[in-house]
Amino acid sequence: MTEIIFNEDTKRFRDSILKIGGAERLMLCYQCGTCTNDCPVAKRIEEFRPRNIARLAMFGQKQQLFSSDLLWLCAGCYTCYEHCPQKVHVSEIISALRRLAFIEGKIHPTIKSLLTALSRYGYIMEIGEFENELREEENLPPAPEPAINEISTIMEKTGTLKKVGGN
Amino acid sequence: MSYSPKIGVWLCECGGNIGDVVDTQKVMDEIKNQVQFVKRERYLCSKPSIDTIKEIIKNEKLERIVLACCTPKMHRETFLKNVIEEGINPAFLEIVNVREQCSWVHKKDPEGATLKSLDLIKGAISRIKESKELHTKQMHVTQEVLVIGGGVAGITTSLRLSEYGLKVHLIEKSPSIGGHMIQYPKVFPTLDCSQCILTPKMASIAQSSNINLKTYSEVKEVTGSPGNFNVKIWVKPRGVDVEKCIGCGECSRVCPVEAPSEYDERIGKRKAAYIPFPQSVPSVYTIDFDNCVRCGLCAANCPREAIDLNDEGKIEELNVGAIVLATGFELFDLTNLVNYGYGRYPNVITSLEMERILDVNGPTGSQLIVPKTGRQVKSVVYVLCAGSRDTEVGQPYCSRVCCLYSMKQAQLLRDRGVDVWINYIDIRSPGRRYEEFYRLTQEKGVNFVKGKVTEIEPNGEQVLVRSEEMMLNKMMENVVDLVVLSPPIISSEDTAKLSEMLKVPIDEDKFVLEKHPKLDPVATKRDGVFAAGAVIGPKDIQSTTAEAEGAAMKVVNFLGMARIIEANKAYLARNELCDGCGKCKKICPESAITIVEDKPVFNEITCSGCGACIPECPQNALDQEGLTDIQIQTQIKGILNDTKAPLKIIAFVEKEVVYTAIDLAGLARLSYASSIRIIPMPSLARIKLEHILYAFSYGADGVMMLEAPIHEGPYGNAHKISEERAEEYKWALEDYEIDSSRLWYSRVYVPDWRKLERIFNTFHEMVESEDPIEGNQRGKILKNLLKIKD
Repeated sequence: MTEIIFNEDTKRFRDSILKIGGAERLMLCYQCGTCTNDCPVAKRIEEFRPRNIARLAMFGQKQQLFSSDLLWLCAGCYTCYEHCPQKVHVSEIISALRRLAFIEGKIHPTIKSLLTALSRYGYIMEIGEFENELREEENLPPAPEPAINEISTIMEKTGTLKKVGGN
Repeated sequence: MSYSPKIGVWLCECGGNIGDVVDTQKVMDEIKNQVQFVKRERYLCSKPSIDTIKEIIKNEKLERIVLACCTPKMHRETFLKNVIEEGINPAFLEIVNVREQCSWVHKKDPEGATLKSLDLIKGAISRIKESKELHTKQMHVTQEVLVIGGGVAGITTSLRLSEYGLKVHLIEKSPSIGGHMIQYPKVFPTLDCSQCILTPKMASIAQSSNINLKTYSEVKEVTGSPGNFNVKIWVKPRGVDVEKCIGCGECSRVCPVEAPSEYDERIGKRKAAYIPFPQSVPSVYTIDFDNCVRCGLCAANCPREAIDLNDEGKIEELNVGAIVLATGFELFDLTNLVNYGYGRYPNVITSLEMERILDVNGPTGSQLIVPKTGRQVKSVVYVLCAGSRDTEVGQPYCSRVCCLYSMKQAQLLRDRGVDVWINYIDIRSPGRRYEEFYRLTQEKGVNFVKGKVTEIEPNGEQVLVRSEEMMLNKMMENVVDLVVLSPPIISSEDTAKLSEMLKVPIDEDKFVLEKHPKLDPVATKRDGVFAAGAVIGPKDIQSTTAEAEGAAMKVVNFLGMARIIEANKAYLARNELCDGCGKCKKICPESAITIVEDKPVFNEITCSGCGACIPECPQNALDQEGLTDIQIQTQIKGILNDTKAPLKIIAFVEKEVVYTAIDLAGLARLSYASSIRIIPMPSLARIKLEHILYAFSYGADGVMMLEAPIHEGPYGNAHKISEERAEEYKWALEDYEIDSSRLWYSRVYVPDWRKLERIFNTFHEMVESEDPIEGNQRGKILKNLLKIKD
């Protein structure tokens, strides 16, 4: 079965990646595999291959990039960034792809719940008495009062809130 | 032997290098009765010693000189120069290597080293008695050159040779020089305008008074020999007098016939009275008689009366000293690759057609359109290895330039906003600035797809291209406006014809075989014939011009050097015995022998002196200057006669590669059995069975043949022959009741010198373990040999 097709959409999608800061050198990837062999995530998860992500991005294969968890598995350790012989920086490509995915509302459920929490509590988790007791045991002051209003305003105005299914 | 020449022998002690091991006094005592004069020197190569040698030659009226010292590769030239000054012919100087071959390798066996030194000197004395004067010859070499092919290689070589002052005949089959390069709008990796850099060179060709340019001409026949080739040139019927034509183009304007333009890869059209392209050299028109309707309009309108529609062409004869093959390449016929639909689908074209489309002066007038349909091109797929690296339908080799020129075209297309995909198996960009060019192509946003295109099929006005994307392990379909195929670069048909005419061997891939792929890459296997550019294999313009410059130098060198012919040639020594069977001609690895009136004639320039023909002669009619059968026989006899050595091994060794390895073994002070007595030979193909039999009859317990690797050294082409002969000799030895294991054959590379110790010792031990050969058995062989001789 055909799995890769080129058309106007794939071309547009690739161009949109190239416009994002840090991802400009995507087309220089010559698929040497350095990024993949170095990647701590790839060592544990067979499906996660940074080289393949770069390749799919070069061919503008949005469908395949956005239809799985792949993009969200990167730990952001930047090992591939340091080692890439062509300065392609797959970590930056992945960031760019995440951004594009986010804009289209293709967001991983975990990320979604974290952002929902952020808009609700001003933190990515609720800080209650239990958490502050733990902090006290470590001689830490209670968590500062979060700027919930500011955060939710930003999230609303940037459309983030809507993307994660908030009001 | 009635005449006995006066011989002088010198022994060098080399400080203690020789003298500490070899008992030089004993050696002197043993030989003093055999020669007129013997002397020992502390350092023979020192100026006072050399002066003494010269002095003594004069005073004692010595005629032949034997020097026992270090390897001849060290000081032979110095000694030779000095004895020549005293009137000694070069043939009358023998150097015996008692350092590298005796004192240095037999340190632990001084007695053996002394016996061996003595034997080797005795051998040289017997041999030099049989030597005859040798004289180098001067030969007439025509100081003119034929260059075949007017592409960038032929142009470069011709210009360089003409600048040097040689007369050059440049032959080109088409109406203009320029070759393929003039068809390209730009060249990688600089994106230079190809026509801008080549046109001035073409103009220089036209202007050079040393260059006789013959376009629309072909080589018909080549006879003669290196240094003196006779060439017949077929000047094809052009219908236009090249001397009269001023290139005004009047004929073309009135010509009513149109035909496909070869220059535009048949995309565009030209008239039947035409000039291939505006900058053509010579700027002379041609009548294409295949398409001409003979209306006579051109002739009637020519202001110079230069047109002759009854032109039948003519044969011209040339005499040249050397020939340069620069016949370039052709492209493989892509209609053979049915799955790509070339010739069936209008939007599948070759890369060379694309070159013409990309030219601003090309047949589409710089528009990016599919030539046959006129449809705008917005997307292109490049199919690399469309037949190259294909052992099934195409050519097995890599065409070497496709990756780079496809990237070049892709860049030009990207600059004009076209989407480009390059389907590759491997991207090969080795070469200065080539990887950078690859990176630049990537930066311009060209899509590189790993996976060879398997199928192309029509898709409306576009085409659908199928391949695998191997990096993702997925199938791929791509619909585009145009597909450009990179066909294999193949050897031209003319090259095959010329290779037969010139007796220049070609390889399996039909490209011309180099004399040595590494060490002599622009010489062919035939002397006086050189090659440059794609005629030796697919290559880029950079390498082509480098080869063309090299070929020019080789020609200059050849025309200059070939005048001196060394006196080491095979010759017909016993004319009455020769029955003209032609076996010598057949075996000669240099094709130096021709049979004229039932007798072999030796080309003295081509003959390398390998000696391979001499044992081949069933009539024993041939011999070699400076290395006669009788010299070899007496040397063997001299070494073995009256020797007190317990075990004697004669080792025939190739005198360049293997001899050097043996010297290196000496230099490293390896230690091997002192039974080994070395006799150098040009090639082991010089050895006759009788030489081996003589060795056994005179007392040898074993014989070694140490040959250099095939194609290495000046006699390299003969080294294969000796291997087959050694097998025959082993069988023949059994007829004389000598165990075949007593004849050793192996090949020795220079870096093998460490192994020599083991080879020599192994053979020594092997021979030692055998029962000795009985005296009457040796006598029987000798009697038999002498009977053969009668």
